[in-house]
Amino acid sequence: MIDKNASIVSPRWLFKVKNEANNKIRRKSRLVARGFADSNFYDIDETYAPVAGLVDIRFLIATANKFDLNIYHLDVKTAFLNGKLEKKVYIKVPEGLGEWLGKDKNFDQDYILELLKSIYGLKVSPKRWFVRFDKAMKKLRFSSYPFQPCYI
Amino acid sequence: MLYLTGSKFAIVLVYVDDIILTTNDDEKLQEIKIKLSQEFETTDLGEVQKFLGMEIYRDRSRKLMVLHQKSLIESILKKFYIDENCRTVSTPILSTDAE
Repeated sequence: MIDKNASIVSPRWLFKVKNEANNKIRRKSRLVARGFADSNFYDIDETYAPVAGLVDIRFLIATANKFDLNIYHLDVKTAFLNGKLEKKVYIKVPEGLGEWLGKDKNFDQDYILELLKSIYGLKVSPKRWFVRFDKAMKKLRFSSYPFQPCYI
Repeated sequence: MLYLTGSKFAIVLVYVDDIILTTNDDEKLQEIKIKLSQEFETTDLGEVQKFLGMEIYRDRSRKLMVLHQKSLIESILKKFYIDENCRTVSTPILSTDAE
């Protein structure tokens, strides 16, 4: 079940203090992968994810202006966490997890964790999210713009 | 991403987690918004005000659209502490041309 050839990615906690509009302070934490130190081999089509070019953005807003249409803005929350991993990715036990779970000191060394979601920082995450989004759009009977092909 | 049927069209553009869309089909608009929010957790930011740091100002009655980066410029000025001790001067650009 465990892919023994896979090397283990190390995670890192990222803390952020955010000042919100109503003078409140929000403390956010996010577990990220240190993907730059991931020594596993990935093909280019596993890591490459297209994004819209400036031309396309101009095209959209110019079209909207021409036909006097509204432009709506949507934001996907924690987008990358929507991605489904194709290959197994293992991470080391994040700092503090053993303690939080009430495990002994060796827990960090004795265990590795298998990721279920594509977390931020992983080499494959942008692509995983894009694939997921592309599927959702195809379901809505959208097709990608043929003159700016998104290689998938 | 492009969707066309007859004279109706919908254009959806995605930049990682930012989506902007425009359509002349109100039914389709609702369908897109609902389906996407079912699929992913999304925030509806209404009409686009700012996309990738680019602010969009529109005056629909004149079919005018202005793109600018005012908030970026202000943040740079603030970063280098020249926001309060500086005086603004108009630039030699013809305002009629700009429009």
